[in-house]
Amino acid sequence: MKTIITACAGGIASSATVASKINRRLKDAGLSNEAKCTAVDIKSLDLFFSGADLYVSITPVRGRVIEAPIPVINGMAMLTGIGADACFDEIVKTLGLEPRK
Amino acid sequence: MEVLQTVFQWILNLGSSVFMPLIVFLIGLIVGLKPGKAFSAGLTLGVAITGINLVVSYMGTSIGTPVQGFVEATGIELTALDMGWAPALGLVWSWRYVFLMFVIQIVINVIMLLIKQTDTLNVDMWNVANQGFTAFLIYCVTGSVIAGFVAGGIQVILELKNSDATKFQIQELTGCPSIGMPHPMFLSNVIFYPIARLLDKVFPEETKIDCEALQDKIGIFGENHVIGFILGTIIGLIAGQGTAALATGVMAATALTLFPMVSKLFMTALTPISEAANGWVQKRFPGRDLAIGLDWPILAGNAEIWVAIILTIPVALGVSLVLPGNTVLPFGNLMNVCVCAAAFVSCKGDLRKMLVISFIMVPILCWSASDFAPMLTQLANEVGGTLPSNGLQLAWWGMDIAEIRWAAVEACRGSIGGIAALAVYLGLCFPYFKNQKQEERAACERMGVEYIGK
Repeated sequence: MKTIITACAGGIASSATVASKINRRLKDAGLSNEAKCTAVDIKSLDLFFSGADLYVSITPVRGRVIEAPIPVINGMAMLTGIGADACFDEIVKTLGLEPRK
Repeated sequence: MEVLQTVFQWILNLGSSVFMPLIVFLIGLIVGLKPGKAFSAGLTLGVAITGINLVVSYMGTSIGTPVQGFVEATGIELTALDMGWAPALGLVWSWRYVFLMFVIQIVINVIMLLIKQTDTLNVDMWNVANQGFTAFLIYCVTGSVIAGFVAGGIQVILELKNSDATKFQIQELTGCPSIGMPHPMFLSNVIFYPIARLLDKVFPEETKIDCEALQDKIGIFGENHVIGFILGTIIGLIAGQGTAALATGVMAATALTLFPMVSKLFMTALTPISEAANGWVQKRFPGRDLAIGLDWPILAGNAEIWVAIILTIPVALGVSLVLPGNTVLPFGNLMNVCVCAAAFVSCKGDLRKMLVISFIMVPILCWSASDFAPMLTQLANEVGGTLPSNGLQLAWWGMDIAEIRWAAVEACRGSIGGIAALAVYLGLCFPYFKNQKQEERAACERMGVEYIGK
């Protein structure tokens, strides 16, 4: 089971939206037993890197995402919905998974 | 008709943890979700509402008693405990009329898109509760649901207008085109922006402060459980608990850690609905260059915001202890983003100016929170929370647009000061929106993109 994390200011609203969208897509792709996304609080982000395989960032600063000890993907598309398909493909590819459906 | 009314009343009386899931289930079916998914989304909302009540009453009992001891030991009348934005908006989500805000928000947005009064499609469902909170406050003081939703509707319109007026600045800050920020907190910039320009004269040169390094050093104080532990322990010690104060600290840390965990269930419930509704709206505006309206945290990667927030904490605590007329102990919302994230935009990231604005706002946040505490407490009781009978009130210190909401509530009470403050605010809107055009042009020039504005 791979763990994806996404973070916003409280781990409540924006990041939970993205996590919910990613998890639904994982389910639709038949991957809900392979990976799962959790929303976390950005203020405690360092705590969560060690248990995660991928960080989907929705807090880019002037287009840049932060450097992290695990792979990072810019997940703004998951939030806006524009380009979400491509973004999800990138997430699956980075995790080294193959969609089942 | 009478039968319909009886049925409706019967459903309302089942309580919001039953009634709201039913509403979400029905809305889900209307926007085209499969019955199973709609049921799951609805039930998740019921779980979220019940969960919020659970943690609110946990906080009331575990921290309420030491807070009482603190009041007795010091003689400082802080009788209301700030729970923070997550449970406060969670409670609003369980207000029996809040689903109307959901509908009104979408209808106003679609109408404004149709008559080309906005280019923003707001997809941020969480902050429907923030519009609903304004409606709730006005409903509480006027007793009229309609007056409440007129106020909520005005907020929706202003939010969309402000999102349109600042989208290139947001593009520059995030690096993402075609997004807007209709979050209510940025409506405070109508006031913060002129203050920031005055401060430009006080701090004319730009001094580089390495906020990222500063955040690395003091960032631990911004973590929920750490703040909760420190504050809980101090309150326990002053209340005379001795070593038991440490346990109070851990309980306070627990409350502040559990709030977000439970609150995110609201989004788990609402996201499928919002996705379906937005897909439906977007399909109806082909070829329109729409900005997608998002919640503010896409700015949360900027260290200046967090540093300003953490440096405001000691000021907030100090002021709350000595300010006449204040009854609220800032606690759950000490990490107060509502002022600092908005000021970040109007101060263009200059930490010194952000701090000045943040400090000025502290007394206003205290007074408005004290004023609204009885209303929130009553809502919590109505929803079915088992608040301790020790008279502890619930409050939301550091709410979004506290100054505007307070002015509106006071104006509804017929206070001259409130009416005057509201008139000044509306008057300031004109120069603000005019100035934003220049800011947008400047942002476009720096980015090298074409400015398209009205």
